[in-house]
Amino acid sequence: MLKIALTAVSAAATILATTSAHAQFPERNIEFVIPFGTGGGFDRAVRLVSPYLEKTLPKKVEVLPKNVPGAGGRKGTAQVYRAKPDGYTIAIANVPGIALPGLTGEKIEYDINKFTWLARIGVSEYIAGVSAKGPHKSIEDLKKLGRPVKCTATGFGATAYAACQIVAKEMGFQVQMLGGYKGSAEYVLAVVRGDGDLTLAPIVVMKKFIQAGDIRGVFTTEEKSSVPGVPTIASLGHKNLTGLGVDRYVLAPPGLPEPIGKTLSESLVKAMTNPELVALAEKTGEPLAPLGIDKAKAAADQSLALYLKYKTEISKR
Amino acid sequence: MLESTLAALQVLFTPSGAAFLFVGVVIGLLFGVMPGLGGPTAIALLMPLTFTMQSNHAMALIGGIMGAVSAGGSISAILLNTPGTAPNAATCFDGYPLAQQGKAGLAIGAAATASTLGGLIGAVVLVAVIPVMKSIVLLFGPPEFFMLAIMGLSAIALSTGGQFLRGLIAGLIGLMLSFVGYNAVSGGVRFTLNIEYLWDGIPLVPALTGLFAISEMIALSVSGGTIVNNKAAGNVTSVIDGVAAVFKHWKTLLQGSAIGTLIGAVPGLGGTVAAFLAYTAAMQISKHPETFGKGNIEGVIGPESANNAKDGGALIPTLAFGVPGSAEMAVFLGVLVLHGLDPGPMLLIEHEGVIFSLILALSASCIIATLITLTFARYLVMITLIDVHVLVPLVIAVSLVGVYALQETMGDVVTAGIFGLLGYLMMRFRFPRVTLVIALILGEIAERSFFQSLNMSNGDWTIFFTRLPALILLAITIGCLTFPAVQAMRKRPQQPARAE
Repeated sequence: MLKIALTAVSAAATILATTSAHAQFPERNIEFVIPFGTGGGFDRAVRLVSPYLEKTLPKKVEVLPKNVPGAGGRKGTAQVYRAKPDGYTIAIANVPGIALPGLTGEKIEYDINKFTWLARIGVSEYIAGVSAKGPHKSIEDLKKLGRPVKCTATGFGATAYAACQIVAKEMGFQVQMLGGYKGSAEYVLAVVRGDGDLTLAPIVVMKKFIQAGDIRGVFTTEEKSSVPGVPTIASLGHKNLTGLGVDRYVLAPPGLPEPIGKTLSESLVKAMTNPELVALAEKTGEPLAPLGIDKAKAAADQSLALYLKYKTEISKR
Repeated sequence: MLESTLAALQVLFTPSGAAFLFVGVVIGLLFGVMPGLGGPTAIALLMPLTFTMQSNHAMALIGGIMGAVSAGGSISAILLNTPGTAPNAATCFDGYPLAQQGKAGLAIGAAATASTLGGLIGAVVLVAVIPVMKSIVLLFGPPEFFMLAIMGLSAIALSTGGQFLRGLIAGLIGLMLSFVGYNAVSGGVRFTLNIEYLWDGIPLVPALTGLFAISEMIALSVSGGTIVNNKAAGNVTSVIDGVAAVFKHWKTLLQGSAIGTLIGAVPGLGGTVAAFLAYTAAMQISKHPETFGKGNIEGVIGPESANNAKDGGALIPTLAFGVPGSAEMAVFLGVLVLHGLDPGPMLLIEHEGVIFSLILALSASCIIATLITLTFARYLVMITLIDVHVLVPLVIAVSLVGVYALQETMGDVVTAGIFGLLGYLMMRFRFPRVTLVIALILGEIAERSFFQSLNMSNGDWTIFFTRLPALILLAITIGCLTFPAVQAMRKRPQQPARAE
């Protein structure tokens, strides 16, 4: 009799233990997919945030960054889109980069509206620059070249590529894109070398080249310029392009159960307020601007809208 | 500068500094030996650990890894025809035939010595060119990349091993394979047969592992026996002969180191390209280019010296502009940033000590890694005497696990298998694998830089002939291609053909 009772109790205990474990996310390690190679800005952001995310998750698990590069980010993004929506696979996303192939008429493997938009990590505006050794000091000077302005970028479908085409359209100059570079630092270097005339790159990258005296900044899409001597795009008469830039978001596969999404999102946002991470981000120039699951998608849509308006321009190869 | 060097030396010689360096060397050797895993993986995995370390200690650890990886990788390339890291693939061509002839000791000795000396030369050049590093980095643009690729591709003519037509066919197949995937210039995905796996192109490490290791293991299991051909089994050469061989072929060493440093200094090319260009260049200056691929020690010295020299070179663009010169350096930039050190010119001004710690650690690591390798070489060589029944399953399992571990996708394992079969069939029907590999590695750069150049010039082809560096590279290529013919013509009247 006692034996039966004991068995029953232990069975009940087991059932209880398993159900409560199911309710408590996370039970195992989380894979944080970076759809780009090692060493870039998105890679760095994930590796910066991951250890702090481990600290804010309700249970102690590891957050493992994984690079899945390919096709300008589409390979890794598509993989996460199809992954099981259990919260153990999340990805960093480039906005508007994630939407550009779709906008420019390519067949893409995912629907950006169906993803679970967990959080925004940061936003970065662009600075446009020309070689400091060259004779040009402004966009007006470039317009006098008498030929299309050559603008360097990673390649068609990349954010800076599209941003450059948008700027050209708004400011009224002909642009010829030079693609095929491996990252922002490399295509800025290409302008220093003289491959092209102009380039747009995230502020963190550009600031360094400007401070070193290799690049002359001609405008910034920030609201208030953070680099002395570089005018805002609004002051050049193009207020509508203020905020043109590249943002980092965290996505999960479509159909992620709400409680798991909430847990992940809250942990992410909380991690980003960790004073240690904030200090580290400040030191490294990583532009943190956390937003939770309730606001992330709307903010992404707003950033995208700026690019959407120029669908014809950015579809040109 | 001297002050910083001394300060860095002091850090390195503290017990903790030396310990981090040594741990780095051991990790580097292990990640190097394991096929698939390499320097970038090792540094990326250790990155979170360096968060809490002092910058100098982190530099000692990472310098240790960077300096040791290629020495580790050369061991598996020579003994098992399995490139431990992608840049070591070039070492397989001659290192493995040497092992088959029972001269694995010679090859390991030469590889380890060439790595050390190459690494040291790279570090010295780095320190020497710091004042003019910006102009060196800016010297090479897309037209020059294209000419470099052509220079390497032209060596296909020399590497056909007497099977000229077969060599060309294999080279063309390599070119076609290199174009698979994402076209970086136009932004489209092509030749992927609608397979998503191929969007990033054919991944190099699985392909190389298949072409070298798996195909060799298939061949071994068909033939039986051991890696060392039975008749040569008695002929075990000493490691010291390998060390001596490097000094005997000092021209190959210097040339390899120069190529390694230069390619390292140019962002966007990387270690594999450096090693292959050094291999083809060694072949071009050799008195016996026909023995390459059959166990010519120069074919080991060239790529191995380039392989380590590129680390010093890759620091040049990192310090000059904050742009990484190699895959390891790209990950290393992340480490710098997380330590609050801004990669770029300010780094050298504000944190000279940290950089010198890295350069010293890198140099010390080359030496320590070589000493470790040379010490254990005679035991490692025993691998070539193991019976295939034991060896084949072991090597195949370890290679495939390594390939899988890199990206954790089964696709990579399948790729290694397919390329293994392809490699075996090529061996069977006497198609040289080296021409396929050269084309596979250089094809993408040739294509990308070709279109970039034409975009730069609005379609004007003269851009390849009007820039001095590009023109010099073209002249060298033409010289190398015509040199054997000219030499043969000059020799013919006095000297009747002699069988060698």
